Amino acid sequence: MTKRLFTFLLFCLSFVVSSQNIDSLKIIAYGKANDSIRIDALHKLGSNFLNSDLKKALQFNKDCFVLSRKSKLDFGLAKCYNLRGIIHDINGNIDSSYYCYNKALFYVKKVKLPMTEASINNNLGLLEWNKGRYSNAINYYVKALKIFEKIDDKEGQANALSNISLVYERLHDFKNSYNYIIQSLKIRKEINDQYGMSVCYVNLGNLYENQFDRTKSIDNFRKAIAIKRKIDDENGLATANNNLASILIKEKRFSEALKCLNESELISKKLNSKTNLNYAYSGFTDYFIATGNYAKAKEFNDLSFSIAKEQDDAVGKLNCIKYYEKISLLKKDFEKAYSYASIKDSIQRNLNSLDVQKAITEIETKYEVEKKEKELLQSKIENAKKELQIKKKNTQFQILSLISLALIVIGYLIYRQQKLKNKQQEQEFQLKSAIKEIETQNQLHEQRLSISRDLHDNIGAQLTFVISSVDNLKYGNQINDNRVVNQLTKISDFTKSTIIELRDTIWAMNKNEFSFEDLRSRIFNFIEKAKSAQEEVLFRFNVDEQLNDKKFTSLVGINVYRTIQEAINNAMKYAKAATIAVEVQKINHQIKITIQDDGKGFDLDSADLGNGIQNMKKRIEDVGGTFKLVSEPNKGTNITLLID
Amino acid sequence: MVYILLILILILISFIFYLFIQNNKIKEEHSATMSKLQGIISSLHSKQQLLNDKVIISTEYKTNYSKDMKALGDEVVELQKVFIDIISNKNYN
Repeated sequence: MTKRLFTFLLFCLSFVVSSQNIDSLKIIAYGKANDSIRIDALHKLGSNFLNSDLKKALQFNKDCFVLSRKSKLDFGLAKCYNLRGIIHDINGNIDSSYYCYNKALFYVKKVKLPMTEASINNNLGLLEWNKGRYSNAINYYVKALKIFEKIDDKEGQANALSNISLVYERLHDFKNSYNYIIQSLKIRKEINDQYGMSVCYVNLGNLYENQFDRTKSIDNFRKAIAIKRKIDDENGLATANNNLASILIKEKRFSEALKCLNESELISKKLNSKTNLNYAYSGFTDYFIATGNYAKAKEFNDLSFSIAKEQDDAVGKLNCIKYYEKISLLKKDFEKAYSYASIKDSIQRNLNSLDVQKAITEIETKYEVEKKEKELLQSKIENAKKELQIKKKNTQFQILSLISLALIVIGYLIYRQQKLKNKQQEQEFQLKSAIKEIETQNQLHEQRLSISRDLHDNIGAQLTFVISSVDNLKYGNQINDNRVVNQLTKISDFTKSTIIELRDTIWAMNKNEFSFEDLRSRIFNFIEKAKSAQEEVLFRFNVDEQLNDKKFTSLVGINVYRTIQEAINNAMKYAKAATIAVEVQKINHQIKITIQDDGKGFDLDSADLGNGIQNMKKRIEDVGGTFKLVSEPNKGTNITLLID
Repeated sequence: MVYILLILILILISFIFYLFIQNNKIKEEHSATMSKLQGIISSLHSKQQLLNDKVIISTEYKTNYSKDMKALGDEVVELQKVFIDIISNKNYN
């Protein structure tokens, strides 16, 4: 009884029940308004009669179908299929109901009617719920809830929440069920949806009854009855009274229960609702059994049985037989009780066979669905595995590529390093070879110079011996012949000059470099000797003090010294100068040496310069200097040397 | 497997860095060696220059010495001539 009641309530929740006047809706539906308005009116009419008169609801639905097909309006077809699905579900045609809802979904997706789409999802959830596929049912309800939330349809949200609550109740998850129904009730209170609130109270009543909290259950049923009375929902009022009566009988509050049953009977007769009337009679039977009036109980049970028979309601019949058996037992008419028990067993067996068949079909369907789901899952797992493998291979490939790249780079670096080493070794080898060659050359030069020094020593000794021999010859014997004396003197002087030249050479060769101070003292000595040879000649020798630290190579030193020597000799010997001046100055980074005399001078253009001047010029140019000679007859000679 | 490969990559990258560092070190060492060798060459070159200068001086002296010896020989011959002349004229006392 309770299950059927819930089912009924759920369908009610799926629709927005219009409170418009039915007559005015009929005028619109069958009038001359445009097709869209007419379809809408027909749909509302069909929805309105869904709870009270299924035949009328079906008729309006058929008219709506005809008009929608004729005007080719998809939104009409979507609504028609949805309503037809509900009608099929109420009639127990589950497959047809599925078909209609799917068709409705097809059309609703074409025209995008979120409200209808949500309603279809809600109804599909209801189908799944009836089939016991609660997980699917919740999925559909959640879909519907999301759509309602998206379009901000509070009533729809409340309906979906209420339905989810019922699913949880069926799963005996009372805590969740309570939470959802409370959410639903809150929304309905917000929007003042009286009908919805009454449904919530009925559901809460049933929820508390399941938890054996009858006080709260009675309280909620009473609230539901109050609202239903207020909004004039007579059918709902009858069912709520039946439910309340059932609990009141259990609580032994018989007078209140009787009142409820009487009201339910009255309304059911008025509405000609056989189902509610049947429940009311069952309630009366229960009531009279509880109060011990078995005759009356049997009387109402007879009435209930006749309705069940009329409706071919096997469960209703079984219920009645159970009451007959109970009454017989209470009357201690065991024979009749046994007879009813046999009939009960027979009906039970029939029902069971039907139930078993139904159960088998359901199990088969469930098995098929699960099998397909399993296959699908398997396929998904395989795909996932393949994807994982591909991903793994890709990762491996990428890593291997990186490794290959790294190896190539390493190879290149090693190759470059080796090449660099070879190149460096080659360069080092070349330099070392050059060093060795220079060293060899230097050693050779040193050896030659060593031999030269020995030779010079030998020559020096020989020349000294020659001078000594000549002097002995000259002064040891009394030679009167002037020619001999002169010749000996000439040989002695010549040898002495050769020795001086040798000493100068040794002086230059004994030092790697010498300072200007060395050169200065050497020149000074030479001038002093020249002075002593020709006392009438005036010598001036000035050296810039800044040049004392200046360093020369031996070649530069000897060449400069010999040039100055040659210039002074020329001035004394050929120019017959009275004054000879030697000036040494530092000009920028150069050394300027000037040798000036006041002798005869000569004409540069006409005079034969001879080897002396050419040698001087060559010596200075050999050491990178410049040689300049200025002379005029009777005006003396000026020689300028510039050395870096 | 992937972790091993990743570790391998890390090792290889470290090796690449090591090679880079090693390469730079070799270059620096080579540069230092080359500078040192250039210094030696420069010093040897200076020494060679000095020796060359001395060889030039020595060679020049040899040339002059040969000339001087020739001139001295001439003077000695001249003296001999004077002696012969004196002896032949019996003017020697």
